[in-house]
Amino acid sequence: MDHVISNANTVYGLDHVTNIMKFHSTYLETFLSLQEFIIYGEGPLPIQYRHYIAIMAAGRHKCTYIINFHKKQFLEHNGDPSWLIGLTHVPRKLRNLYEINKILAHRPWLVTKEDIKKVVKGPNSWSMSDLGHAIILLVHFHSLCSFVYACNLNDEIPRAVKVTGVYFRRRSKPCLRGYADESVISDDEGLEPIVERMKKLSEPATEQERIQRYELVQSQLCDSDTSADNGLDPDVKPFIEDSGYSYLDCSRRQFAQQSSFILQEFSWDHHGYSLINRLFNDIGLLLDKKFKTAYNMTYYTMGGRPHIDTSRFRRAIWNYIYCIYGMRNDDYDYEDVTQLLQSQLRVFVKTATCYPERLNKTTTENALKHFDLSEKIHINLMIMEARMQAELLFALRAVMNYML
Amino acid sequence: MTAVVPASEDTTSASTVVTAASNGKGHILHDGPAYSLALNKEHTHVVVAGRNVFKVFLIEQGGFKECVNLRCGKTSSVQSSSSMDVAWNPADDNVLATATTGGAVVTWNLNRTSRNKQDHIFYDHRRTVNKVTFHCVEPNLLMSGSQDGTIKCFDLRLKEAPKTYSSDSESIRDVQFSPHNSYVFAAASENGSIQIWDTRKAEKCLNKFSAHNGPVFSCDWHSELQFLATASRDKSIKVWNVTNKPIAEYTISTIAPVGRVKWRPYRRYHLASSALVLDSAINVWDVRRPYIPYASFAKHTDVATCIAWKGDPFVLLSTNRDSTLHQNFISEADLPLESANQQGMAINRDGDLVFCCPVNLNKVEIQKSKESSRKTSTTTSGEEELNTSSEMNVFRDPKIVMCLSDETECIQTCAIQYKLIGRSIGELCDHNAGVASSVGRTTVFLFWNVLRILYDHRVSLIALKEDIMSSSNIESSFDGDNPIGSLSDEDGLRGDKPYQLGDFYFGNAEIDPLDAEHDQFDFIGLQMDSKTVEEDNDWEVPVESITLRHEIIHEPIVNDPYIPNSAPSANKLNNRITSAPLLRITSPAKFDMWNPSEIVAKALRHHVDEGDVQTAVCALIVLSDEIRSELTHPRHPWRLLHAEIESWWLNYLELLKKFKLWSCATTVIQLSRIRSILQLHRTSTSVNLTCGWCYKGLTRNSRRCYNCQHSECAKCALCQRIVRGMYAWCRGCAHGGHIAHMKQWFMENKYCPTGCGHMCEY
Repeated sequence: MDHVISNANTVYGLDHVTNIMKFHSTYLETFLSLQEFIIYGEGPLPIQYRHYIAIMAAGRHKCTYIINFHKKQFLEHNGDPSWLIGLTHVPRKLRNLYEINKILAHRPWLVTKEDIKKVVKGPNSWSMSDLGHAIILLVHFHSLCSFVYACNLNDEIPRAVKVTGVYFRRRSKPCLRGYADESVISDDEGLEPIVERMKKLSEPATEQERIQRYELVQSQLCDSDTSADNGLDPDVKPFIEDSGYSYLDCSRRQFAQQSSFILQEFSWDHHGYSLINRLFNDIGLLLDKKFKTAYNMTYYTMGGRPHIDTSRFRRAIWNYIYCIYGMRNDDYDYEDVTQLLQSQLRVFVKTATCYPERLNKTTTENALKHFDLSEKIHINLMIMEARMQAELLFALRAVMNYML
Repeated sequence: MTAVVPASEDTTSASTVVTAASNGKGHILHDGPAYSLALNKEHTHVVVAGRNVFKVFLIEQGGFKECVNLRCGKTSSVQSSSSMDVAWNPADDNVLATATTGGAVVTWNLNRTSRNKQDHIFYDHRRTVNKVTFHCVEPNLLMSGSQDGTIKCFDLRLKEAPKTYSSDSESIRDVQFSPHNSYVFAAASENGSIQIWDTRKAEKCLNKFSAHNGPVFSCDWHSELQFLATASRDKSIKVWNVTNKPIAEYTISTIAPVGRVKWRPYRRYHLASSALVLDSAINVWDVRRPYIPYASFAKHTDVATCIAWKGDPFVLLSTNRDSTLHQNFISEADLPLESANQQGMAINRDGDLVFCCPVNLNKVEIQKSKESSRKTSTTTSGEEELNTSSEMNVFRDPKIVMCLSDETECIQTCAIQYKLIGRSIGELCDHNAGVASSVGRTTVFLFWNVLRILYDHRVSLIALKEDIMSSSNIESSFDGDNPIGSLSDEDGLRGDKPYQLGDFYFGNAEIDPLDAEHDQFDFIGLQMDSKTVEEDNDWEVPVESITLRHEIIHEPIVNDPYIPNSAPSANKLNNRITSAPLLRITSPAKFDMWNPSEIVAKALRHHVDEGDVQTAVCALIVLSDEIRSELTHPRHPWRLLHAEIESWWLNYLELLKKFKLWSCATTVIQLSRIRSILQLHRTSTSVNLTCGWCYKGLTRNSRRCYNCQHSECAKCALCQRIVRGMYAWCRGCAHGGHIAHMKQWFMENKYCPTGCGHMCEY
């Protein structure tokens, strides 16, 4: 795999992203193998389409870093330069995909089999395997945007991070004195209380209580809104339509179609995996490996303290992201989320997932203050993976409903 | 004791009887889909449990009648929790158990008089409980498997802390007690492994083996034999013999990940399976015939979440994800075997044909075939004796009579019989193809044929031209004045380049619509219908067929040297026709001939890679120089390198020399047209001389032996002087001399001038 990593800079050009990910080399391998496969590997879509889809997907979050890179690649692979003028110049077939792109990026719970049907039937239709490939590209780049913004890579000037290509640990930064915080749980406690709470076993709750806790977490989502920035970079503008379409908070969502998604009915392991393999051979394995690596990876440390079982914390973040999209995990006690994730962290996770373009350096710093650098990156990776899995599940559920 | 709850205890929901036979939709559960179902011991009642539904039904002939709704009352109690699985106690008909997503295992007693039938709740699992099952015989043992990777065994009488068996895996998907041994149970886990445990030993399992490549979703013990069937996400069902070391006895491949599998009662080899996603059919398989299901319930609209046999082999109950409950009757199932195609045929690249068909075992005939193999499998079932037997025959092309299995003989025969010069390329290729097929080398045969088609221009074009001639005759006979003119055109054209055919050339020698059967009218029709009328073919449409308002003249697209020739003739023709105008298109389309050199180079390399240098070398000899220069032209990246060709030649020569085919080798060298090969002929062309007296070798230039100072060998027999220059000598007596002297002598004499009495021939 070494050659893949060393090639990554030149071939995939995502220098900064791969540099950051080098902190977690097992994960980096899975990430690069997937990236290589979906962009350069064998697949139903022609390569110009793949790069253009990447541009469309990154456009939803106005991520200039990814857009510029893929523009270059698109032209290098003999893409038609008139497509880069704007969305109006692309073939009808590609335009039809934009609707799904929009919905998946911001409100994936709204994807229905009707949307799939529109794309798959009629003139300029996509075949099912084309669509499978396209969906994977879309969700991959949506979540990559989240990661890019969360790690502050969008300005293309890397942060002052010296990476030697080896797992590199830093001392945790001292927290700022006199930091005024109005949040409910005091930040200055650092990670101690979290560690303590993780060690305690919670009593089992009844189902009803679990549902209540879930709804509590959901309602708390609404409080954590940040301001929107509507300016559009000229680089990005041609690839965006309907830029005002964005994530709906749950309070407003209740008026929208409330389709509750319960994980047991359609989970990655059982249904998603086989379905995506059916559409696009062998991709399920790569995706599965990547998800599992991100989820299970642990160095048993947290904030510089060794020998900690961080599984509850990781699980909390993962399920919180599911909760943001309205997916309920029956198996999980959402009390953990309330206890283990501080509100600042929750705000950060929500912003990174739903509107990563609104993130700026200070919020990131504050939310992840007490974690080591590599742990911060790990959290960002989990955000990326969980988001990708959630979007993918919604899309695949719609595909399954369409196919049956 | 029989504990069927009387129908008077019906709760709020109405009991509806829906005949399953007439209404294919089955019984609709209004509260939501059920994830699991279980039958009581007598198979009279069925309980279904799901997210929002938990009911007991009476199974009737045509449908279901609801007896008890266990999910009622206050929503805050555990009653309302969603169940993943439900089990009915085989010993006591009143006791049920459910597994909830919250980690609780709940037991129910139908005998309780209150509305809430819940008996006891065990909170011991931390995560979702995937499966509960009662012991087959003992009434009080309940086993549960959970997402946290543990299996717990509860004793209902004692209500104490359960025994825990922890597996190493992520989660347990299925737990089943063995019907043969009351202490043994099997657990299927998410990492694809099956564990066999003994209830008395909680620390370590008895046996653990990796069954599948993905999570195992279900397992089921066979009622008679020690078989365990497992179903997994990797689209396979495997039947394991778990006596000592588990071996997979049978494997069935399905089209979708399998969610549930259940053996069929009273049928030793049958089991039912349902898929987890994408496939809504429930299949009944005979494990000995894993390729096609024995019976299939294909009319379901949604995926089945759980299946169970109703105690007899003819009825299968299933719950679907679209909230329905069905009784599936085998009598109404599709039997794929009936409609499957029982014959198969295939052909391979060598032209062999293989054909298989079912055969009645009673009469067996051996066909006239080279080989035949018969595969017999006999399946019997309770219903009918299914004797299946099929026979497979392989047929080979009769032209390839002598299939020389000995490679060396092949090579020798080919080497001797190939013709390499003397005729046109096409004829040589044809002959060589015949030779190749006679020794059974079909690929070489095809190769020669392809070369013939590619490079033998003249043969195919001459044929085409003749066709055109005949058709143009027909055409012109239709027109009064024109025949002579058009014929003369053809004559004129023929004398020039043979590749251009003038007026009627379609541009691509391969397509011959004119070759088709034609009488006059058909031919005309062809012109009319074909799209090329508007394109660039030089045609003359006879007057009577169409009438045009004005003459259409198309500009020639390609600069064709023929146009000046045809144009005046066209004008001539036009002048003769005064009445109706003609449709005239004056430029024959010229398509670039496809250059097959790349393919030929590839083919040559391929043969060499396979070890067959002979074909490559002979092909290169047969092909003309200009083709060879095309193959080696530096502008092509795939070109054959000279060094490459040389090495092929040398290898072939070595091969021929091994077979002692000297004359073939010589021919090959001669025809090689490669300098370095030709030079091989120049080697070993010197003769060493030795002195007649002392037998020491003579040096190159001297005639005087260095050793013994004799110079007899160099003396002319007539003038007795040392010959410098050409020395002619008789091979019989080794005497000779100056060639001029010898010449003169033998004009008059017959015998050797030395007087040795030998009659030399000069």
